[in-house]
Amino acid sequence: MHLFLYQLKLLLRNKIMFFWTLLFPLVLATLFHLAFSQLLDSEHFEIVDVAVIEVNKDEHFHTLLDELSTGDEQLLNVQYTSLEEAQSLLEDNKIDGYLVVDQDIEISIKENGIPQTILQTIVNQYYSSQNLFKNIYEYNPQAIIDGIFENLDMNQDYFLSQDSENTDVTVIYFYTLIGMNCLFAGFSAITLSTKMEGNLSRQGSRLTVSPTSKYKTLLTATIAVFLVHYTKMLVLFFYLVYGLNVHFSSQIPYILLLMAVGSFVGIEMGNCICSLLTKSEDTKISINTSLTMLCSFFAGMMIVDMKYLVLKYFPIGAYINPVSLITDAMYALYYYTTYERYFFNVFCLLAIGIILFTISIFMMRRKQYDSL
Amino acid sequence: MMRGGMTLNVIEIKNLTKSYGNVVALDQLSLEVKEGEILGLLGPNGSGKSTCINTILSLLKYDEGSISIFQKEMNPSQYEIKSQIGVVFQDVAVFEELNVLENIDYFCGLYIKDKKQRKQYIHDAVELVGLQEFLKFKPKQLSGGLLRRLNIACGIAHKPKLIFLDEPTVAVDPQSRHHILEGIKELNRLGATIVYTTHYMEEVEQLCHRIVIIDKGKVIASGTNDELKNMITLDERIGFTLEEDNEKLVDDLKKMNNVIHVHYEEKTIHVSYQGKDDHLKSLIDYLSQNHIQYHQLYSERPTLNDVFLELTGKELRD
Repeated sequence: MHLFLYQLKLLLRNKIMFFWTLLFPLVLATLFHLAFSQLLDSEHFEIVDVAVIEVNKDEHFHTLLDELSTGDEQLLNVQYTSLEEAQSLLEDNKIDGYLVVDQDIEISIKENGIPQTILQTIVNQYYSSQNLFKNIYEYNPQAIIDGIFENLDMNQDYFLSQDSENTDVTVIYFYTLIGMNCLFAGFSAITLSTKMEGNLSRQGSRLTVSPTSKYKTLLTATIAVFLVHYTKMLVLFFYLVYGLNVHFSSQIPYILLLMAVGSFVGIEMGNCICSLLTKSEDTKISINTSLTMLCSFFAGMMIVDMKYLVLKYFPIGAYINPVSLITDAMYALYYYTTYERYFFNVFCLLAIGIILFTISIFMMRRKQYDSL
Repeated sequence: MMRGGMTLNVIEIKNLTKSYGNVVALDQLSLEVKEGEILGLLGPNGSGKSTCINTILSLLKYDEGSISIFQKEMNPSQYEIKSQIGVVFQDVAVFEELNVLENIDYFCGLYIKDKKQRKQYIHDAVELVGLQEFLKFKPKQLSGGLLRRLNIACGIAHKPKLIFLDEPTVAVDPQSRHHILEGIKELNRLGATIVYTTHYMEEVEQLCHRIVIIDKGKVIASGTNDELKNMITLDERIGFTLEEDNEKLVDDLKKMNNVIHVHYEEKTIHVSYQGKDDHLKSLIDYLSQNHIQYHQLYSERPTLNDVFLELTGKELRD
């Protein structure tokens, strides 16, 4: 208990570690939140004012325009006019453009902009799925409308949410942030291990010449790092939930379990790096940082598509990447009603953690050093 | 501990060999440390002193030889032996995050589990090194000398029977050095056996009962201060400064009995003598009879540096 309490003190008083494992993720989360809230705001489209001149009435297109002009997802404000009237309205900037429905559908606009792009997208989508539309329309006109929104909405085609109201692509960034911070536990593990290893620090030499077993030292250090880091993880998580109103699933206990397993993997990654290499603490921390950032990158932290590219071209990479597993487990909690995928990810994480732990223990059996 | 009038060996090292690649750090080194003594390990930087200590402590692997402490073979799992050893490393080994009191408590607690006993031990260690006024200070707030004292307190607070002090006074101010040396004497007086490594021969002469001189990983001589000095031919060195140049005097001195070496530089002469005769009186008589004017006359016994110089052909601080 004596050793454990001082290991806790050393961790809690390490200001650099405090910054990287708590303040940095909080700042990053805040920056994500600010960036994404602006992005989401920009996705709330203004309703497009459009005039439609039906020279030859197309029933299907007419119905589509009616659907797009009503409901919560109203995209268009349609008025059926004559060509002259439409030209006048466009000239007076009272509409964004007009459509002439004849054998084809012609678009007339005065300037380029988002409303005009939306009009173009609607017509293109209609053309591209016209044949399909004719068949589907009779059974499910909503499917066509969804298709239009998918084309207008960034990347949402990746998700099939159990709760469509909460569908939000940005949460995946926060998932990877949590995954990344789990691996940041490795920093604390490396720092503490350095102070406990006889060949890495003089404090470690003193500990090594004392009647204290290495296994006891490793065990207490692991528990101390876990407690301190998990507390930081909780602070980050609750800041995301209550401070930034990031919507995670309602399965909080499962997320807490996931963060615990993720932190364990982070700690063991740090322990493993520390036991395998006889380099300086700075070098080890640099290696841990590089690995963590690489894992975060491939999990989609910088480019969300990366996660899917890895799954497509190197699927095993997703199963050996702890950040990817954590992200996917949270994704599974968020989007699926069953827990198979979540637990599969948790078990993969546990397996990685146990393998790393075994390597650390094996390497720590070395009780004497070639040089100090 | 005496058995049948014999002082027990606390440490016995036989033919210890340790190499770093092609570099031999310890070369068939054998050593004994007797209970209750302060043994000085003297040698220049890089002679193998620290390697010797780290090997004894089972921190370093070694290639050949044997090490026993308290009559038991030493290895990393000998916790019973380790519990009776205290170490003060050459580099300061304390935690920046902990204050003076916490640092001592942390290291003492690795040996002493009973809180009440530990509190008393910490109090004694703090008094010994004179850090009473700095208990709440963080290491970075301490001067170099105070930091060294803290380093010592951390190594000896658990009242070990055997203490290794590896150059504990490097870069220390005279006041702290005095404090440290007095503290070491006190530890010895309280019963601890001490192995003290340094390249400061003055400290060894002042402190140690017995001295082992190491060079290139080998023991080149061992004994008490006097025994070591008696090993060499030099018995007395006399120096004086002439009023004016006198090359003839240098030649005459070289021809005198018992003179083994004369060094002359810028009117200053150093004459080295062998034998226990009264060389100073003879020299003064000779200078008077020849009406040679001189000043700044001094005489000194050989130092450990002279011993080292004569045995190895180089200075201790080369």
